[in-house]
Amino acid sequence: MIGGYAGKMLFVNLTDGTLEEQELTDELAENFIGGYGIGAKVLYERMPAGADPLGPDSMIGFVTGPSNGTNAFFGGRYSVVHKSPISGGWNDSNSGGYFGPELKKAGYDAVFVSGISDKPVYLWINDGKAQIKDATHLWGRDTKEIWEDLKLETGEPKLRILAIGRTGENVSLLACPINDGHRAPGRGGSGAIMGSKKLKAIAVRGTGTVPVADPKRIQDLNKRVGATMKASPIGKAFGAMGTGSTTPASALSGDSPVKNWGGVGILDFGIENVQKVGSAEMDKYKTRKYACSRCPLGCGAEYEVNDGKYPVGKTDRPEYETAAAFGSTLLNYDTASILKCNEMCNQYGIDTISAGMTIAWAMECYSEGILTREELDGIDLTWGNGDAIVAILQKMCDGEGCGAILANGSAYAANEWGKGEQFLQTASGIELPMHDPRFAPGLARTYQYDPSPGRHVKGGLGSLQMAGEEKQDKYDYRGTGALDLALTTHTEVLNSMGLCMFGEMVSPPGVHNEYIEALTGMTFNDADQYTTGLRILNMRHAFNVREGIKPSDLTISARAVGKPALTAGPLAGVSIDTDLLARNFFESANWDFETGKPARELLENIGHLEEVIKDLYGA
Amino acid sequence: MIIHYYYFGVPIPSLTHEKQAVEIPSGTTIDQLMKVIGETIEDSASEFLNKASFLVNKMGAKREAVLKDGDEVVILYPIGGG
Repeated sequence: MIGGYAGKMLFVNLTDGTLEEQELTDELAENFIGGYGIGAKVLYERMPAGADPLGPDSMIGFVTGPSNGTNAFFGGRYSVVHKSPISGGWNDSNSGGYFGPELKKAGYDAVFVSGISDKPVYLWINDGKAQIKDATHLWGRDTKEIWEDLKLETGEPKLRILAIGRTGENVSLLACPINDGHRAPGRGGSGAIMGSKKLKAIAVRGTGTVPVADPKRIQDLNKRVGATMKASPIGKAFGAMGTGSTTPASALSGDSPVKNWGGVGILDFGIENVQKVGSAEMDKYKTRKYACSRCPLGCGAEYEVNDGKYPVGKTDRPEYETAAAFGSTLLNYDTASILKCNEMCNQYGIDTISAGMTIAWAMECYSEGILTREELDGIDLTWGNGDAIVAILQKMCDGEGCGAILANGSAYAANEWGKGEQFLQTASGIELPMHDPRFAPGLARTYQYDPSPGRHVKGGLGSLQMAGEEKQDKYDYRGTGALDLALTTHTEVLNSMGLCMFGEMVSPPGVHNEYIEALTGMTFNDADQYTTGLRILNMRHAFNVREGIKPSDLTISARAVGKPALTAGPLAGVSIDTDLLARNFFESANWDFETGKPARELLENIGHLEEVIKDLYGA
Repeated sequence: MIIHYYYFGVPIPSLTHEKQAVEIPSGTTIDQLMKVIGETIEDSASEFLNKASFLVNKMGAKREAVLKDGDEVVILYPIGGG
């Protein structure tokens, strides 16, 4: 086995209670790297097309990358892969913390779970030994309580855990698992999948060592990365105040959506109020800083909130996405309510982005008289009403009253209630994240057409524009395809390695290719990165094509792309040519814009996609 | 003419929210203003002015925009969110 891998994958069938180990081959590792790269390959091969995401044939994977569990800086992220019960297509999300590295040190590169258990269970993986255990007594416990429960039950105080809370047990579509008590692979409904399988948690303990090809080179690379990080202003800002350091400025610049994407930060929110949603304000509760595995930056922080109307006690600093979703998007500068919502989402296991955005949708519907106070169980859901936001989120977490509908997301609620569709801000039914395509227009293509819709962590042109590094006028949509594709393939590899994108922001360019070489021992240059990234992208895309999803089925809400354009503020007049951006990308990717099919010669040239060629073009 | 300006959300301690004023010739663009301001701050901090985005009187503005007497310029850190 090449370096950087444990060499084994675990396949669990909860219907018949079987566990099967399978070797992770060099071929799979070299060509699909890890994370959602390997995840896409395995699910494509093993999960039947057309499977019900919440049914027994549905498979969910928890997949590490070659950096996890090693000394490589920023190597703390693992991927969760499945078919989304929201979009009906491919879904991956990733999360930091310690769960991924611990799984790897316990002897597994990946765990794939299929079937449905007849009673609640958890998976206990302890240094290479995996067991399915009864979780009936743990059903109803929140994601932090169960961590403590299982430490006692297993006698392993250092175990790491990924668990669903009550929202996942309710099979609410916005549910997600939480690992390490506060980190979330949040997007696309993975908590609902776990709940549908009655899989309450995966607990792991690993004391092994992950072999790597060149430990000395990893140390040298870490030194280089550490040096550039220390000199980077964004490195200093994230290290001191986390991603929330940027929340106020993003609300003013137009990066953060305001008032369900219909407002203007500087006009509707104001300079004084935007500061209340940032870390500079909230860090008065900070008790200590923390970091994910092998992260020298440390963007996380623990808070202790014992005052005010929501004394949640020990909690965590809200990330940028969370602070924006429960802040500027709702015109809410009630800091206490934002901290409370963040804690509730962690305990119950619900995606903060989609939860905030679903409330934003309901808020606009209420403000426009489309939803009544009675329909919202008597809650006066006016703009900026922090207490009402907490109250409605509580109902979503509990699956009670209107919350039982809203916990499935805004698109589900609009369909269920038969109204309010005009105020949805979604991509293929998934709520948009907190970066506005009118500010970084490349995101319009990514949100609408990435195989996992509505994501801000998929690279592409938008990532360059968000970083203020655009190569041409960002509102000039001509000739964008090649660069958009190249930047996307780059991120496919980065994510599949299990590296953090914030690490890349503060690292020397191209350093992660060198990390792959040092970890695995294989040569990996820019051309390898492009081809490998293209392979992973096409694997994920092919999953959707096989499901019968065509480009015309992929939607994005009109307001988010400036149709109509805002009339005031920094994004006034911006209306994105989404069609041209998409056609440019499809042309560069060699994907047919009508059927979505990748060209046969493209798949043949990329290699290792034989099953895709067979499915799409015959033998 | 007099232009008022301040920084917002810039993770460099010396670049603060405090409003400042500068006198510049009429017809000056934002890009030219950044060169004037860049002379007054340390080199490591001035690098970011090449990437910053701007609000002028609460509206978005490009570097080529010509400023008018009394304009208020907000200089924003270019990196979005997290």
